[in-house]
Amino acid sequence: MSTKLSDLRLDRRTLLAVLGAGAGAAGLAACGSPVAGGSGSSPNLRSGFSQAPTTVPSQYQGRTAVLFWAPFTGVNFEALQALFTKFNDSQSDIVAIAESQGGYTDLNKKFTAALQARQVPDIVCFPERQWLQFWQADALAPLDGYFDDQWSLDVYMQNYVQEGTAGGQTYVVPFARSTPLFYFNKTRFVEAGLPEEGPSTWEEFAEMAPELLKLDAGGQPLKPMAFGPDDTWYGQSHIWAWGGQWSSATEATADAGPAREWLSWKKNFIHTDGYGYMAQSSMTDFQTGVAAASHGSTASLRGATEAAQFDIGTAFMLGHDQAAPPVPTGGSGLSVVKAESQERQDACAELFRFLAEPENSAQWHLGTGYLPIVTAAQDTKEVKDQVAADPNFGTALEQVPNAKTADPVAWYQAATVEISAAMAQVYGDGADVDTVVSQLQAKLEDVMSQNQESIQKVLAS
Amino acid sequence: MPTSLELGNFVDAWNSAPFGRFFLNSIITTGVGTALEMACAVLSAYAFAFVEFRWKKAVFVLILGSLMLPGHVTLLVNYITVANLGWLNTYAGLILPGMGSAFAMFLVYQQMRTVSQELVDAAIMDGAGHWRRMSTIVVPLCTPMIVTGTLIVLIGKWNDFVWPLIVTSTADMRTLPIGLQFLRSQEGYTNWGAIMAGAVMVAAPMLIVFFIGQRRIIGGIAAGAVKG
Repeated sequence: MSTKLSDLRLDRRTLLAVLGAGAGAAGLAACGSPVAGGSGSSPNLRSGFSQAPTTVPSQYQGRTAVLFWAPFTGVNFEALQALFTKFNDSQSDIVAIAESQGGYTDLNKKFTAALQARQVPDIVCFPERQWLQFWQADALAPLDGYFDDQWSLDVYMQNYVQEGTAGGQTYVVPFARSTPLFYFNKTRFVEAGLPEEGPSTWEEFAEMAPELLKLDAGGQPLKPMAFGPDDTWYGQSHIWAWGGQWSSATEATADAGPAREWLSWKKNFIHTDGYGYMAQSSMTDFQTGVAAASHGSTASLRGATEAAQFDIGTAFMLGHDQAAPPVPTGGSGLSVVKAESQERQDACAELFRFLAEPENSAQWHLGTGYLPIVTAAQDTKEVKDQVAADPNFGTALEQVPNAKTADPVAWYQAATVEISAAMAQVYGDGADVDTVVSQLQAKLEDVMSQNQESIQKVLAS
Repeated sequence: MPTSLELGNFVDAWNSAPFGRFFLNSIITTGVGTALEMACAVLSAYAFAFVEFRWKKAVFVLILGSLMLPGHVTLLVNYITVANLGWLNTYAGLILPGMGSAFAMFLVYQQMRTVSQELVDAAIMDGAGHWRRMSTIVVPLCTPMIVTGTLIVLIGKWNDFVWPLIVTSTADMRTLPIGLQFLRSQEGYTNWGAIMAGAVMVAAPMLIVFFIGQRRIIGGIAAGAVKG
């Protein structure tokens, strides 16, 4: 027995030693990966970065396969797959494969891990300026070399082009783009004797609100407006409407005055007058008829129209002293990931070129509600018919000229989280506006100082 | 207020994503994963409870320490290891990293410590080796706790979201919780009826398993609690 036990001991010890060495090696490998890399033969390539696993359907075997990790689910993903099938059947050299990865945050997580493991997709898609972190990590390939007379940034809505460039080069071409809209329940507005086209400024809306409150919604007074806990995107339009901005290119300006004025106005609107409230999901409350109005994305229009059991009205984002304030651009664009294959990168460019053809852009717009981002798509018969049949789609298009990129500090998630929190403190808790704004200013200054350098690099041309 | 029963939502949910495939993947990863994890847990718990070896306490503390490590800390390291082994988007990659578990081991170990030493000594006198003592005496006596552990592990694996999301990338390798996410649009139209129907399909098998094992779980926890 004793000999057996001592044998056992030796085995254990060896085993532990092996385990320990293994763990150490894994740790080293983990430390090593982010430092290495980025040493390809051309600036467009990165050796050692291979394609993530995928399955090529049997009818397309032998073609160059490009893989898109798509941040779309549900109806939008189905629309994307229809477009990809159309592309695959339109030629015989390339097969484009889309794999849904959930939403933008899921994709962000997955892509970060994939870069560490050096098994990457060929195409990724990030919203607004959130691709900057991957650009800084040298993960994205510039696209300018592929532009020619037929396909270049000129074919897209120009307000959305700037957002995809950094240091004078293009890393993102617009794809699933949107703007915020003011949604209202037209049926209830008419019932309350209010104009069918809805309000155009907050002051106008505040005058209409008492009439809406008199109506009944499932035993309670109809709430005029539902706000949400994550309203940064809409807040950007509000602060512009009140004449302010979150930051200039060099410094945070939240405490310059307009933000305080706007938030005090909102506090009054919500807490003194009782015209608004903070919902867990404002769009759901709007769709179910609890609230008479809500903010939403143009991309929600198709779904909201199908789901709601009343007439939906849409208006421009509400202004302050004048109607039609600037609105922030929203949604995402397509980027090519630097990997070891030039051939696959060229194939991605072919796919982007295909998606930028007016009829394909129109198909995506009609299937999802995202903007017909290719200017010429607005002249296609399908889009014109849609606008004629449902004027709400026209509202979204007419508002596009007011769209512009968010203030520099709001490019960074660290700042948008703080802005949302500050807005929620006022909207939800009725917190003291002066305190909230000065705290927010301090936090935005932090974000600004951390990202100062990268903002300068992005804006340089 | 809902006015009618709409069974069509189940059909909608089933048709809008490859749910059959998701079910198969979930059953394979949960079934094989739970079996492996419990086998590991029982073997290591037996070793800590009945086998003498050097540094036993230290190893035990080290393993228990891993209970305090949040899953997100090991996520990236596990991912890189699995990628280097070429296991991304495979069943091996889905299942194996979750094999070792301090929690299940500790649960079974606590029960094994209550097995009376006289019983084990009697078996030694009869010439029974470790394997025989474990399989004929210790494991049968610890069945309630092993069943409890199995159920907890099973439910945990069935509902696991982050790891399968990260390690798989094609629709034919996805599991149910991720499939459910596919029904929901990020922006735009959300068919809540189909999502709720999908949630019922995902939750139902675990509810059934729980109801079957319920009496044993409660018996197990109570038995452990009283004996301390």
